[in-house]
This record gives sequence, C-alpha cells and structure tokens, in this order.
Amino acid sequence: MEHHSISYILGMVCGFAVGLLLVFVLSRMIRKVGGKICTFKCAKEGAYDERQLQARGKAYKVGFFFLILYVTIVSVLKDMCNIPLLMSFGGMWIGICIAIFIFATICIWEDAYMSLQENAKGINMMFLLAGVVNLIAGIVDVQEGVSFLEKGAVSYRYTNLIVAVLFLALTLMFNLKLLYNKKQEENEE
Amino acid sequence: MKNLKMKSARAALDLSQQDLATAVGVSRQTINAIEKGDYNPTINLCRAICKTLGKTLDELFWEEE
Repeated sequence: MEHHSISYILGMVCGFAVGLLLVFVLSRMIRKVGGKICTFKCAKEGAYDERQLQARGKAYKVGFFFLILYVTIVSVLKDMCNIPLLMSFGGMWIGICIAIFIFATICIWEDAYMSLQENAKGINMMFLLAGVVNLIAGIVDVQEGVSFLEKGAVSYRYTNLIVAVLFLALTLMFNLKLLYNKKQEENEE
Repeated sequence: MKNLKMKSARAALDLSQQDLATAVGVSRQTINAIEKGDYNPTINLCRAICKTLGKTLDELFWEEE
C-alpha cells in the first residue's frame, strides 16, 4: 500500500467517527419506526437467555478458529508460495467478514442472534441499511475504475463491497430462518 | 428426550410457549427447545418454570425409570 499524508489519515479517522455517529443516528431512526435493536445497552446482563449465551459462545469459538485458520493460510500463501492475493487490508477484511458471517449464521440458526429486547423488524432494517449503504459506497469505488488487485493483493477500496455482500447475505439468512420459525411455530401450537 | 410433562402443564394453564417464555424471561425458542428435549436448562430456569406453572421440580423434570 502506498504512503498516505497526515491529512489523508485524519480523513480516514474522521470517516470512522462519522460512521459511528451514523450507526447511533440510524439505530434511533429504526426505533422510531417500531424496530427494536440493541446498540450499547445489550452489553448489560439479561439481554440474552442462558441457551442463547451458550449458543453464542459456540458460534464465537467457530468464528475465532476460522479466523486463525484464515490468517495462517494467508501467511503461508504469501511467505511460502509467494501469492500475496489476500495479504492486504482488503484481504484481511474478507477473512474478518467470513468469520463474522460464520458467527452470525450459527447464531441465527440457533435463535441466538436476536436478544430478548430486539425484534425482527429492527434487525432486518439494520442489516438492509448497512448492506445498502456499503453497496452504494462500493459501487461508487468500482465506477471510479479502481482495480480489484493492487500489487497482486485485494485492494482496500473493495472493503465496502465485501461488507455489503456480508450484510445482504445475512439479511437473506435471517429471513429464511424467520420463515422456518414461523412454520415451526404453527406446527407446535 | 421430550419433556411432555412440561408441555401438558403449560397447556393446562392455557399458556402459549411465548407466554411462558415471557413469564420466565427467556426466548420462545428456548421453551421450545426444552419441550423438545434439545436443551437441558439450568436449575435456575427450571425453578422459574416450575413457579410459573405451579409445579414442583420432580413433577416437571424428574425422569421416571
């Protein structure tokens, strides 16, 4: 990656700060239209029940070990096979996104993603908003003609697109599980 | 193993899985998993369920030989 000026780095930091602010503002907007999502309050005890906590622990474990495996493979590819494809910010984000996807997917299928204070509407809106915002940013980058590879590795400019794919895939997964639960509930009651 | 005793005790009080879940502070899926025998609850949750359904631990959770 090329060296960037101080102003560029400050711009990046401001971008992250604005991103955090956006999350805060969007979460309040989602709540106003009837969606319930947790931002910081869910860290408190009692947000998830005991079965959910257990399932989340297992999901964390799988995601964590996947990330270790991913970093190992990326390092081996770079140092032993001289393939730098994933040894970049973008490449690492692919690994982080897949690890988060694995964690979230296990949680969703174990009914441990949504805490007791959240509702499906809120989660769906959050996933969709995050997906669409990142998709727009990603498409803008692609339209600017940024190449996917930078010195043989995935460019960091594709991070938004990678995150967009993650959130849109999670939206699909979440809704499939909702449909499955609805059918199950009808059979049970 | 399915917990049919708990399911029938809940049905006797005309409670849905969601009603019981709300009363004991867990998700509906957790109650469903206990009734289906997919999840083994802690003693604290067993006690909360027993209090809500007006049964003893033995009546709901003791497996007869």
